[in-house]
Amino acid sequence: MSVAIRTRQLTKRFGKLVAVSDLDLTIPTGSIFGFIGPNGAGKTTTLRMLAGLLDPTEGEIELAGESITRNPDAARWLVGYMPDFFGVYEDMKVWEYLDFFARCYRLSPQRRRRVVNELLELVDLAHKRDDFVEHLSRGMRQRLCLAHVLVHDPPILLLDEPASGLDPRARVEMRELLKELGKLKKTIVISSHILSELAELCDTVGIIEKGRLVAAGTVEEVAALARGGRVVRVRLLDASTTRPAALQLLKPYQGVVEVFEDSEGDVVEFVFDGDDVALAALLRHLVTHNVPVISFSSEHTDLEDLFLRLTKGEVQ
Amino acid sequence: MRGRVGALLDAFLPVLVKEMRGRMRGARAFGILTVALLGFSSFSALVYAILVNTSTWDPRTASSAYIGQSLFRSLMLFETFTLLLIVPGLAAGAISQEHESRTYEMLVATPLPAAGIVLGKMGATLSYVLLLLIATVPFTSLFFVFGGITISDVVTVLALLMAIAATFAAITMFFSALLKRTVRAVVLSYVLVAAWIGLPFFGFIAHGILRNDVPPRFWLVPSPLSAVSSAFSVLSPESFFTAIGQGVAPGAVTMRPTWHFTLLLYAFLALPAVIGAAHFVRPAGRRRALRRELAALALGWGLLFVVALVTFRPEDWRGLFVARQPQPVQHLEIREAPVEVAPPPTPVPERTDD
Ligand SMILES: Nc1ncnc2c1ncn2[C@@H]1O[C@H](COP(=O)(O)OP(=O)(O)OP(=O)(O)O)[C@@H](O)[C@H]1O
Ligand SMILES: [Mg+2]
Repeated sequence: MSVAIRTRQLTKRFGKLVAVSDLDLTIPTGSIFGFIGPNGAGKTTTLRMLAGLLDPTEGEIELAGESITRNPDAARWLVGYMPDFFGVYEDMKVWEYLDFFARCYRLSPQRRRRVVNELLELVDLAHKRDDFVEHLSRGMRQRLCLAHVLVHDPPILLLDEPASGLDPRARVEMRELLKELGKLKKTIVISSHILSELAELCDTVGIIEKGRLVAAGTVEEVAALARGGRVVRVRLLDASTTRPAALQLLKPYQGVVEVFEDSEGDVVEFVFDGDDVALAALLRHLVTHNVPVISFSSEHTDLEDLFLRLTKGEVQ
Repeated sequence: MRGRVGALLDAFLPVLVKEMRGRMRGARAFGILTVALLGFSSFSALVYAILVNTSTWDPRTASSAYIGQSLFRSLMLFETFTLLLIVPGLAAGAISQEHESRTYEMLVATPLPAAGIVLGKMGATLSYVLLLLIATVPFTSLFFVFGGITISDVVTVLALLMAIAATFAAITMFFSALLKRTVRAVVLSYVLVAAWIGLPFFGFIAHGILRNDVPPRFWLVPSPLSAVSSAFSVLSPESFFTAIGQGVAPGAVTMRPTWHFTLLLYAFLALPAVIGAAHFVRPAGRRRALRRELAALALGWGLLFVVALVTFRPEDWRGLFVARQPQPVQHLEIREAPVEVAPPPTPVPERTDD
């Protein structure tokens, strides 16, 4: 598995403020990475460094094995960057807008024409081809901007909150579009603080807070990390009598982070930090101590919940 | 080196095309053009009316060539003023608008080199100026009816106006890139233009008053107005006001026309303006190219210096600083001398340059 993006101890300081601190990211080629964090966490700063628009204070960036720190111009060709806040050239026609960027990347005239038409088709703006950009709606502009990062067919896309400001319907469309791009084997980094969108879309996520990566991995892994483990639900036979015994066994058990005393009915919930082998051992432990277990399951947490915990509710 | 020049050219064209399709397109650009042409024609009509009115007492108007030259000169000076008004207006938004409309990041994320972006945008401004100048050629050719001007006068002045436009475009774009706000860049550019027009004349006149003598013309070298009016021949160079306009001190031995020096000075100024603009176009974190830019500046200035050494002789330079000399003006080519005002031909060794 090749690595599309690798950063080592990536750090950016603005004066005294540390915007990004010792960031180590490894994003495999062809995967979609969700970059999640509250306002001011350092997402945009990181993406701008990855796009070669901002010099890191410290640390290394490699894109597709190429060191951007040493050769910043390489990023221009490897990366398509969509900023979080952007404008479009209002006084141009839609096709001219894409044509300009295609020219910037020195596409031949024939190739340019083909690429512009294909991209307009892809982002569903073909019917607006000859309209002026100023007459496009917000969602259309967002799609046009997304199209422009694709003109040079870069292996890496850095999309800074591509769905911000869109209505729910446009969000769904944007998500479908991104899934489409994921199928093209592009490495995509999407930043957001709207998590429900990313959980479904992303292969891996990274959670950044105050410039530090606090968790990274698959959605499941991060979820486990977020809880300091995973939530395990145990249903007991005749819970009213067997419950105290179960709690007594669980609380001192190694790897049990927290037991929820207030679980309802015949269920005991607790947070467990350990792998499947350890979990199986725990089940054996309960059973051999005569706790009547009916069912035993470790559940997935949803990312939104996880995020709120990770950021201590700092998101508005 | 070749690769870098090639990359500049690769960047020039896309940006030029983009600017033509965007900022320079549409009603506004043609509005400016229409207004300018209306202004030029009514101005010329006014000058003509004045000439006709003064013909009752001014003997010079008996010469058709004098009328032709007066019309031409006044229109060219008026055009210079117009350019100095229009060029900052066109160029001030070049870079700052990218910031203001939040398109800047995406522009600099492309492989376009910063200098290419600057030159492309400058090219767009200058093509508009060229359009404007070409549109005035029909008026100018009307003046040929009166005589007194030559095709080469017209070509020289138009080329000079382009050079002036390029210089002011470069400086305005530097402000645009530095200040990142169009309004600030416009204001600063107009302040500069006003100073640029005013200070040389102020210096020239003040020098004359303080020394109680005809001042040396080096004061007038920076003035675009002096440059333009020194670029074609006139019939009556001895009046003080002609001197101001023309950058020729009456009675001075002036071999080399003022505008040659002006061009050299402008080239020296435009170069750092372009390089500086490119410097500030590059994203803030990526300005490590400073050393390369300074090297480019040194190289460019060095080349200009060599050009200056080769094309200007020591006496050319001396001609800038002498105040009054006993000899009459020599370099002026008198095409049709009116009887009273023709300077006596003196057998001073003729120097023909350029
Ligand atoms: N050019 C800059 N100069 C000074 N400080 C900056 C600059 N850019 C960003 N910062 C600071 O760096 C921190 C991280 O900002 P960044 O824009 O990366 O956050 P973000 O995660 O993208 O937030 P958001 O979700 O609001 O877009 C913030 O505290 C911000 O104020
Ligand atoms: Mg951001």
